[in-house]
Amino acid sequence: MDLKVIEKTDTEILVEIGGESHTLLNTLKSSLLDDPRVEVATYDIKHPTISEPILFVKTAGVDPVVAIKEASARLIEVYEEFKSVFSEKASI
Amino acid sequence: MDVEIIELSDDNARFVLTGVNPAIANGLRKSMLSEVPTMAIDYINIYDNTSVLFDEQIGLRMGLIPIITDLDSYVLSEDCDCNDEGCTKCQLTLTLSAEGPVMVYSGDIQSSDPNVSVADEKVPIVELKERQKLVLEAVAKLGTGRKHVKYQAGVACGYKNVPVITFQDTCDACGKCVDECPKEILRIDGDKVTVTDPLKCILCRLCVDACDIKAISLEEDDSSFIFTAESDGSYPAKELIVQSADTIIEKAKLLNEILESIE
Repeated sequence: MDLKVIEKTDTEILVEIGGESHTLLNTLKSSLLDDPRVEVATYDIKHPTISEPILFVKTAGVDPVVAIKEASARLIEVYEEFKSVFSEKASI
Repeated sequence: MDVEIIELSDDNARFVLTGVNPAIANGLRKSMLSEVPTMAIDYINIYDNTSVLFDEQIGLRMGLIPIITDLDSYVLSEDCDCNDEGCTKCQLTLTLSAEGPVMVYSGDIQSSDPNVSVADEKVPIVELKERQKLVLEAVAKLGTGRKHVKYQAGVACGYKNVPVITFQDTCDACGKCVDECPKEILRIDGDKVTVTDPLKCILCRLCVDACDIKAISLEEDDSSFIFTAESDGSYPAKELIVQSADTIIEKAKLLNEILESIE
């Protein structure tokens, strides 16, 4: 994973997340939008094979980097929960 | 969040996942298809090939043979300490030598690691006639489905929303929908119609169309998913599903680490 911050202000960030695809970005976007402090969260992959995804986040006051970090932490939580619930049910 | 297992075998899994949003379910599906690393033959040295197939065709067939993946002993070559030069941590050498008349199957491939072998022994490679020979050495590496289809661990992974079939009070139990349903999951129960197994519904809407008084509504539950996952043999289906969640967790953790460092 290769992060390049293209633009950053106190409430907005435009960041390129190199080497990643819809798998991470789409889940991350939905997790960001669960946060009421996040006003806009969207990403774009200009060309499906040659472009890297660019994530844009706009918040209502909070540092966008903090918002992304928290969204990513929530994502880890959800999938950890899935893992434990699934493993428990599958081992019976 | 809840999981209900419908079916679980070595290479097949069907389960209902409830209480998550579609993005989480889709992440899981995509991860199974394209992000879980599996082992596949990446290049081959052909020492002797007098069979009817060209070297390239043999190469393609070798590449598509599923190999049991052991993530504890092998790492992705781009993450390996050897910088992609090739070492025993990121590469596995396999050999195949056969002399006709014989049908060569994937089970004839000899692995240099006793713990790792081909997932299915009955994949046909080529039929050799009298005096025909095939001798080759192959190198298998870990990779992800994003890079090449041969590294795809999940072969038929998908989900659909759980169907919600409801009958209004106006339903007069005429039985037209019961006759129409191709899955035969509707049943007349006294003066009303009941659904015996909503998970079998294929969302064809024939029952909705058959109802003259529009007493049936068919909706999809946005937070419940019927998942189907089929493994190519590289992993047992159960491990594939756990591994796909793990892959996203690792990605999210890595993202957090990098964000920590740029702050």
